[in-house]
Amino acid sequence: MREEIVIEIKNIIKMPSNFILNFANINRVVKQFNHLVNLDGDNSKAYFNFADTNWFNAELTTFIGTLVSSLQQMDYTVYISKNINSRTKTILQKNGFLAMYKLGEKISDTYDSTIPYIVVKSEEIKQIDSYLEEIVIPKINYHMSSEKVEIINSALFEVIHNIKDHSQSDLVFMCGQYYHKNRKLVFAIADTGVTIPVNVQKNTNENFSDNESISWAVEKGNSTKNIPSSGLGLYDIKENLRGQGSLCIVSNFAYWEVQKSGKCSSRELAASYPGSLIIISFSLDDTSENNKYNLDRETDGLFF
Amino acid sequence: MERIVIKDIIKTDLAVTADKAQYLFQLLASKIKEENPVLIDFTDIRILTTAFLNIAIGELYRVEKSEILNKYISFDVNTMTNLQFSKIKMVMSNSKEKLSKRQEEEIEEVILHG
Repeated sequence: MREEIVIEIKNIIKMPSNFILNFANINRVVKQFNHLVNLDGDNSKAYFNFADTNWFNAELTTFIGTLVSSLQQMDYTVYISKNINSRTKTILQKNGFLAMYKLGEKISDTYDSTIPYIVVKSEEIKQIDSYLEEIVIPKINYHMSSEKVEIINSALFEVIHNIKDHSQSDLVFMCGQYYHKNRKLVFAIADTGVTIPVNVQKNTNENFSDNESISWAVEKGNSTKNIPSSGLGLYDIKENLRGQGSLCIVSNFAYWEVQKSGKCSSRELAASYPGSLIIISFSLDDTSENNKYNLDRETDGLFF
Repeated sequence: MERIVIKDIIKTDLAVTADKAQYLFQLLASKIKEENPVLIDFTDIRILTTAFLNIAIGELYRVEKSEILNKYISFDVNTMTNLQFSKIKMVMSNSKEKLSKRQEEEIEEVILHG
């Protein structure tokens, strides 16, 4: 990825001005991405334009990273416009995105709210664990119960493995952000492999839409793996987040989300996203919903 | 009764990968075959995923019936966290449900097709 003044208008992906996670923003960007890769003629260059992006949710760096990676896999040279909004540039410098693509130096994070952007091999369990244990969790300068930390760690590992199993992708893209004021941790994990809907449709005989495929995949016991006992990863995350946070899955044409309350909704993207993006938002406040783990282990016991 | 400390068996406190789960599954399956009762100990396991449990524990339902599994495999519930307990319970219930569904389908198939 290079820094360059934008000349060829047709090869530009223009970023939204208020780039928060919502359907409209994701839809707008994937539409432009697809338009660009389907252009006739010289398809060797692609430009990301952040000139008007006044606000950028740092965790969406993962989303941008997967688009950059997909374009590079298609032999595009990817550029970022020189007139990048200074606020957005700071975010991308703090989380190491610009440094990773040699677009600028990494700068320190004064507010200690940025979780670095990394691209790691999915089988590098130790590296992923070090990232979570040494960078992600200690950065929460806010008291959390050990149970809450365990839920967050466990959910992130479940997602990483789910992505690895579904996509057959070698690489996992990760990034996050602490929103101190709102007392929440938002974390995004993505890949550029086989999408969840394609995998579900291939392995079931159902004529699901892409969003129906996601709904199927997050239900208890539904799995595309040939292991009878599988099918709990996404379900477990969804259930653990009830009352604790929200989950959003973008994969192929699906934009699917479940709110903190447990309410699910979905919309179909106008163009396909070339991978799977899972964004988890954890509320850092301990809530009464935690009581579901207060099981009487002595009485209940564990029996086959 | 022999105590099987998972951390010592898989040589890590991260019970997350399929290969480690497969190793534990094979060990447990061999203990059942040898009719050697064991107590599973989760001490110091920091991260436990359903992907790991599906193979290490869930696949045992394909080896033997529940009553035989209960005879030879026990869990030390005091060595696990609430979340781990809840995950193991969920995996066992899911495996049992899926297996009985599969058996019903097989019986139905026999009845329909002879």
